[in-house]
Amino acid sequence: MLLFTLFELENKFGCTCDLMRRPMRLGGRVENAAELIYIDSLVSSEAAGRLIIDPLGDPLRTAGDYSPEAVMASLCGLNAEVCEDLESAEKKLLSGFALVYLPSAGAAVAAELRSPDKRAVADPKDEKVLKGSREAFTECLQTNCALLRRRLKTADLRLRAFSVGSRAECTLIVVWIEGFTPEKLVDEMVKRVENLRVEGVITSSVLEECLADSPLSPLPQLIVTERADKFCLNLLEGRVGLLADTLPLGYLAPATLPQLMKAPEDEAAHFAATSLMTLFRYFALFLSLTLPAIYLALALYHQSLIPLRILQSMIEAELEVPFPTAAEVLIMLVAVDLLEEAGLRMPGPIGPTVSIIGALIIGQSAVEAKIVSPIIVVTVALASTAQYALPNRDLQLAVKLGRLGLVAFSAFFGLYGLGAGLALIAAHLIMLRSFGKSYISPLARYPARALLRLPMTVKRKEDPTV
Amino acid sequence: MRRAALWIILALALSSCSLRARELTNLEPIETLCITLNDGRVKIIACAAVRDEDNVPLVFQMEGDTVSDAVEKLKSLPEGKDAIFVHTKNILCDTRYCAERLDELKAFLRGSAELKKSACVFCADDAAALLDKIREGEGDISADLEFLADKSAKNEVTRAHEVCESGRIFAVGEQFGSVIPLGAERF
Repeated sequence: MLLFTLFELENKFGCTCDLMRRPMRLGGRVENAAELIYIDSLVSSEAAGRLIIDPLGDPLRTAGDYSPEAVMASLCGLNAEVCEDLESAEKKLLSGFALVYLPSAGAAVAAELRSPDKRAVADPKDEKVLKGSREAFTECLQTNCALLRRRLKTADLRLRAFSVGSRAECTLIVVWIEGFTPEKLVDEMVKRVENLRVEGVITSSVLEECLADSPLSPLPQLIVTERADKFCLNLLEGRVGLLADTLPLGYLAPATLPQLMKAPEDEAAHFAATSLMTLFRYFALFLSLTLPAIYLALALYHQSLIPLRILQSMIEAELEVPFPTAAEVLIMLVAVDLLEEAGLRMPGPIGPTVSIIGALIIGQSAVEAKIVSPIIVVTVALASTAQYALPNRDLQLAVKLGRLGLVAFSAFFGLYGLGAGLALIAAHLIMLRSFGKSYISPLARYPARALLRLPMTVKRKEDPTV
Repeated sequence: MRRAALWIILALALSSCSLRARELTNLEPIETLCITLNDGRVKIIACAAVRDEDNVPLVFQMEGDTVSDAVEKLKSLPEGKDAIFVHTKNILCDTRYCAERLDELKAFLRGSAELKKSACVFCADDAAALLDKIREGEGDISADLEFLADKSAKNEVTRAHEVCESGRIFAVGEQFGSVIPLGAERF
């Protein structure tokens, strides 16, 4: 009985030029014609000839039996399986398998011949550390799993694969440590992955948005890392992980603010130094979020709070600038963001240079041209610089949005507005949950544990944070 | 959450906070205030902290029936500028004004919400002339005022003019937030 025909399979792919068909004779006999089908861009032609056509054409190896099971057995050494329906044949072709189509059986044998052209494990680009591992995730799921297995040598490490994507299928792997990661957390992640209704997982934002508890919130609700060691460390803290095929990133849940404020090298440095740096980061967060808004509120509404000499120099600087103070702050915020964006888009080593020189020249020229006052340049530059002290890029972007919101509140309502804006942000943080866990946990209950890095001797006595 | 946010924004909007916004360029912080009498009316001369092209502090004058009235009128300056008195450090009073309207001065100092409690009140024979000298940076009057204020704060001022070389300046009291010993005997 024919399960599917070659015509149906070919029809499924249309006239795509990289679908290769190579006629072959099983056991070298004309009456045992078969067809080798594969996608040229995913499979090496040379390997297809050497590992499939040659052995199956040899009458000694096939022993006269040409059923799908016998053909599969002849392809020893290859990851092979029988495809009895059109859908599985299509999936295998797209996953780097070559199909040996057997017209007599109306079925095909799929053998994995994935092209080995993948990127080698390299240094992390965005999360560099001085002391620590230099291995980052790659786009290849197998490589990423191997990186985890090498670090977590335990039989309790679980990796469960899922296929998602209605149009472009992608493999996701949920990772956890059995008996250590809370079961509820694993179930929740599995449930969310199973319920993913997306066309494909091409970009990271698809996962981040679809798996988040509150997709409208600008705050990152998954910890995203390119470092395999950081991923493993979080698994050991009881988090559940997620890896995606073709994405060189690992996702961890739940994400909490104290966790996002940790830098990769924190675990490698002395606990006192790390604690101090963490406190600096919180200060930087506050500064970056509120500094332009505080300036605006004081300059527009609460001049009495500014010491006379500073007020005097502020007025003298403002007298020469034609724009209102709020417009000046906005101009500077936009200019800094433009420079940052340009620096990111510039190729390779030019980017940072353009950013620095651009900032220097534009800042200096803007002051000399009397477009903005120097104190506003200092304020916005300080806030923008403080933003980069935050270790998480998504958190930086959220802070940028929050800063704009607070500037608007301050421009309209002064310090009352700033207070109200901060109260709203605090309320949002308190209400926000990531996989059922409070976003600010454990700040309220164990502030010391959240803000400081405890020494190992103390850590050993306590339960894991998650 | 969204409802709470809307309520907060609405409450802020209704509180008309935004109407009180003042651009820095429209402000004239007054550093020194001089109070004199002119034909029975109170004349105030306000010396701003911001300086003109010749590096001389700007000066604004106003007359009123009382010092509060004159100060209120002075708050709205020409060209839409607002004088603010929150940074006023020194208040120079003419001896004649102090002698005649001491109670009015006390009421003004105590009733003003804007003046800081750290402002110092001094009395001089010719306060207007003294203010001119301060503006022009003549002598070391500012240092004298600081010296007097310091003495006053320590309750050491009795005949303070004896130690001032720049003119007859009297310290008329401590920082006026505390009880002001503005005794007539001081003048």
